[in-house]
Amino acid sequence: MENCYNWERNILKFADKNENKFNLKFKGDKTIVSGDSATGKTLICTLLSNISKDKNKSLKPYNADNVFILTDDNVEKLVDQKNKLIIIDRAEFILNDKIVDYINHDRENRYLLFLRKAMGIDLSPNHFAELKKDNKDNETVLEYLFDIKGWY
Amino acid sequence: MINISTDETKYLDNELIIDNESFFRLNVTAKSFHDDSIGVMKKIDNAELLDVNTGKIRTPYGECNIEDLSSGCKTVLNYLFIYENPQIYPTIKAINAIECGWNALEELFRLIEKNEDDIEVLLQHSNNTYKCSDRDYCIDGKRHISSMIDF
Repeated sequence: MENCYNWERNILKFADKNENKFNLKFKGDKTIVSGDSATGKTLICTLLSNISKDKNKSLKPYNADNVFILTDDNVEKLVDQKNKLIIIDRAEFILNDKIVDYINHDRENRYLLFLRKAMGIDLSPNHFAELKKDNKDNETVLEYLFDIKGWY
Repeated sequence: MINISTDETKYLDNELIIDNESFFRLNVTAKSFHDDSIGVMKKIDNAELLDVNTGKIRTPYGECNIEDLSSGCKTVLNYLFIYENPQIYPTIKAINAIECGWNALEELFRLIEKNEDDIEVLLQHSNNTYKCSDRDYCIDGKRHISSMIDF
């Protein structure tokens, strides 16, 4: 069974039963993804959530134990997470000043935020991206918006 | 003219659809879809309605349900729902477009313009909004622009 998220390589990679492939290579500890509607942002969260909830431990194709989907219902569990990729969909509805401050100081986890509105998250301008689908391979990847010298 | 607002605090709770995912889940079914709705689903999500009773759709990601449409698409479908059913939510004055990528925003603007509707669009991001077509936009009741480059 494969891990969806490879912590050492900082890559989120998995496929679903419809052969939709996702291969997101992160550059840093925080990534903000925005862009067009219908590029697969919520789909990624739904698929990973389904993998996490799957109790067939030996039968499922992927392990998502090191992925945490942050929602309104489990926000209080954010502080318990360690060495996880924390994904926040529709982040405008979940983030507040306290959570943003926590995220900005958190050195133990990594974050993928689906977010269009500026909310005070500290990150390099080179870590803003959009999702792009390569129709030939049916693979969705990250396309980074900027590559500004002097920023990591 | 499209009326854009950047301040959510000016609306009462019953005047603004703030959470389009929830509004869609609680109000909209495929049975309420007309030609504009079918066109919106196709334009934004490249989705095709397969079964009007169950809401089954086909998208580039496979077969699923209208609940799996993008949040931006749902926002536009919510607008069509309240426009076509003004008696259900007569107090609504504005719709939150935070969940709309520019492609969904363009559809929302196009339909509001087509319907000559005075509903306001709460827009608190400028993510690629410059790609929207030129038209008459009124920002916060004060500033008129014709290009979203100036938003």
